[in-house]
Amino acid sequence: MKHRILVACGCGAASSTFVAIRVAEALAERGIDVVATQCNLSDVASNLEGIDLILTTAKLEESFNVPSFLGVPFLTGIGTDQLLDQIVDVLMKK
Amino acid sequence: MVVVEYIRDALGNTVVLPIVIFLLGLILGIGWKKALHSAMMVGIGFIALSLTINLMMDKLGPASFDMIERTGLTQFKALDLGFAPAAGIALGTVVGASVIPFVFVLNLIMLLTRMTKTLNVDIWNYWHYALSGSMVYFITGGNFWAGILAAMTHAIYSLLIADWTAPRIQKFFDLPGVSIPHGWATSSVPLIMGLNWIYDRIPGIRDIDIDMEGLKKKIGIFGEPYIIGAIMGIVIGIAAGWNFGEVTKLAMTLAAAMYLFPRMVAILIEGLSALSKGGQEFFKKTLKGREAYVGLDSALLMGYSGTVIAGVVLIPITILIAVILPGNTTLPFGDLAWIAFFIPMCAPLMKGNMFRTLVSGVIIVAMVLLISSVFAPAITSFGAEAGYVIPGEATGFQYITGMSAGNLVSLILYKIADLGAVVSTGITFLISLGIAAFVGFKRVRSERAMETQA
Repeated sequence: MKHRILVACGCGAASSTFVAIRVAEALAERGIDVVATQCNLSDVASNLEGIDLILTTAKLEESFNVPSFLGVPFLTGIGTDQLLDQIVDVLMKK
Repeated sequence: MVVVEYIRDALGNTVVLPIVIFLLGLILGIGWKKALHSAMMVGIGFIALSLTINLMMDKLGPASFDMIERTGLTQFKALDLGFAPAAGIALGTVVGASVIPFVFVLNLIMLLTRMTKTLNVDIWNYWHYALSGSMVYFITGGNFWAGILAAMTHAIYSLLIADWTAPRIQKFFDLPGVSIPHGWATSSVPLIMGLNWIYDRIPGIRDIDIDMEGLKKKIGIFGEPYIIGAIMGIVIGIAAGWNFGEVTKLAMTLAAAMYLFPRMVAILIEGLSALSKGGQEFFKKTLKGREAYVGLDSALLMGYSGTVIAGVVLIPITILIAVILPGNTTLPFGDLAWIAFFIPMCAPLMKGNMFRTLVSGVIIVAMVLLISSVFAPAITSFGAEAGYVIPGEATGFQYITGMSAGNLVSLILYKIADLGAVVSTGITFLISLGIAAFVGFKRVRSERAMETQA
């Protein structure tokens, strides 16, 4: 079953692309299939249809029904394993 | 030099950069399949970008011509196409394409010698260094080495500034381990620090701040790039005297272009992603636990809503400045939706004071417009080589440019190169390397002192 992750960044293209690729690869290595869609930080509210988890490259000021995490570790390479554990936890519960 | 020219002429810009990426990928050990994928994505990304530019210019060109004729605003000789075409052009010259491997290797050397703590994996934004390199290449009449030296000087400067601003950035945005060596953002740091110093010394001004929350609710969807594109289309269409059908078609076309540009850039970034990961891995093995920052895109700084809102407020202000500023020949358009990218360093360096950010924003925009006007002829000439549509006499604009190319560091390097080509750029490069070496030397000493104490 494919999970859907929303990746949001400052301009809808640059950082979110990196994070989307890395998270999809990392989760595939753990046997989890995901589809990542990208959007602008300000568009998160309008893109939540069918989304299991949100990853952002900057702190989200609003909170939504969907669990969200800061995706910066995927950019810096630091702390990715802990973050992945948390993501896997959330996705497995769905 | 002959070899370099042959490669450029025989293969064209859209092939050279992918080849460079492929080779760099192999060297970094990411494997030939990933290297090939990266190279193809970069090449495809460039073509996608070119498509979008042509789409936009197809309608915008004639509209601008008519608008300028009707309104008599003939001081506008250069059309700002925005960061995506500017980057494509900067990376598309022979110097530009070579900048990526040169700067990357320079960064690794500087990291190993502790001249910098930042590993700049934001390869897309090497385009700002490529811009300096390409502008110098232009003004020296095609001197490849002067261009490369200029690009590397810009990179050294950016890395040093990144290290210096890192603690403040990490604290303000809660981004541990991150620094911002972004070629444009770093160029604004001295100016912002200088302005902040001045504000602190003016009684009355130094205490003012503005509340952004109220503004945020009113702005809402108007901050969307595609809406801004549509609005600009309507404004330009009406000013051009076009009929309702034509105006709406123009508005939709521009909305589409604004929406598509970042997505085309995303294709290019996908290509660069494997490379930057390869660089990070390569690096982890050699650094062995010494502290390093990961250098990232200033897009991360958009997480502070004050900056984003100020960016939107500055849009109409930018247009006004463009009209009244003497010496400005640039009609702002492509980068209007992204004015926020010219002020991201204001918030962390001015403790989030939005009043100061807005005032500084006005000054910064004026500077950017003037510089992008200066660079317009060079950009247009390289654009022609890269195969982009040139809005010649048929469209009323003599030149194309990008506000993102309005980079103060690039301008300084450009002027230096004008004085003495390789000699003056070489000296500048050596001076900046010297400064970096001094910083590195002190850092090595203090790190060793800490190690012996531990």
